Amino acid sequence: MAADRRANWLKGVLDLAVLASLRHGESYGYELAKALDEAGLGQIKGGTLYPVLNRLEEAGLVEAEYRAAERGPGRRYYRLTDAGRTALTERGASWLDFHEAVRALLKGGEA
Amino acid sequence: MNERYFEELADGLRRLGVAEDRIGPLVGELSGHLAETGADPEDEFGPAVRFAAEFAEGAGAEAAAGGPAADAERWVWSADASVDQEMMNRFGAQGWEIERVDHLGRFVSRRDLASPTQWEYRRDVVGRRDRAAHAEELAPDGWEPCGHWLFLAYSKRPLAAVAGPAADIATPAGRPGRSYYFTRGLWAPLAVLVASLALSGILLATAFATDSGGSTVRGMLFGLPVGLLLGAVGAFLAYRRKRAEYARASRRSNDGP
Repeated sequence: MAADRRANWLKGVLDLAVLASLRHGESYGYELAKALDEAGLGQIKGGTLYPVLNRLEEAGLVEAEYRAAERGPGRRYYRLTDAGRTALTERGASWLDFHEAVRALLKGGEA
Repeated sequence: MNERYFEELADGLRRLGVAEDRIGPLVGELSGHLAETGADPEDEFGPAVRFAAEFAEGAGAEAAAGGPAADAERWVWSADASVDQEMMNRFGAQGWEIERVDHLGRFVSRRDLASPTQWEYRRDVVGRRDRAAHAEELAPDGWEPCGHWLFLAYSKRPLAAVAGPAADIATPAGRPGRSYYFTRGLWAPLAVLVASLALSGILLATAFATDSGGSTVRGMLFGLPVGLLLGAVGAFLAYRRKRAEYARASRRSNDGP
């Protein structure tokens, strides 16, 4: 149940989390999934992550480049565009507002 | 194993109108991901059909294909009245939901790609004026109207209404190979009609060719109304007979034990 709830929360914020993970430089799918896991968002399956990356790319918030690897299959590297950086700032602020509101509500309930 | 998964995924994406130059790199990217995680493709990405639907949703497939929403596939099909119920329920079990019956009597259907579920159907004989009352009468059992054709009223309900989550479909069957299911019950009268028209045409042509036309026209003035009247009476009787027959059949199948 707890996992279901977290999965539902994640749906609303995953695109923002992906944008944030790309803030300091480019990355590829598997590495992004690891970074999100390490950040405490839990293990994100490829079936969830790649459609999000695709939507962000279609919206022009990230751009991707395929690079061949020395060994094994190549990787597709994603990086933020200017529009992506702007979206991250605006949506990030709006998420934090929301987060503060929920937090205040929960804390208020405790008191 | 992986190859089969990616083939299925590529097929799904193509069907949803995703451009070919997006499919190749995606498959490359996902193969790379699998190589690094060592995971099973179905565990990592979910069923190929569902993944294709989710991916296509963001890929602007709708605009590219100029077609329906990418979260569903569409199919227009038809069957004559002697097999339509059987076919509707067969395809309903595969997740096809009939949205309406078009003016040619074809079933316009959709299937949800992300979470297909089973549908069941029923057919009743209902007069035009009684359609609303009929729908109201069936509504408490979860039925809703999904189209009309002459005196036939079709209704659908999601099987989940009676079977719960068991009605969900994990791996939907492929798209049916045929879209038209007509039996001898339809072909035989049609063949008779075409043969009669051809025969009348030949007789008329012969009459005009051998005669100056005067007596043929006089003959037609008498023959045409008589023929039309006889034809109309025949058609009306056949319509009434079929209507009664289908009404009996639907009473048997719907009110049976």
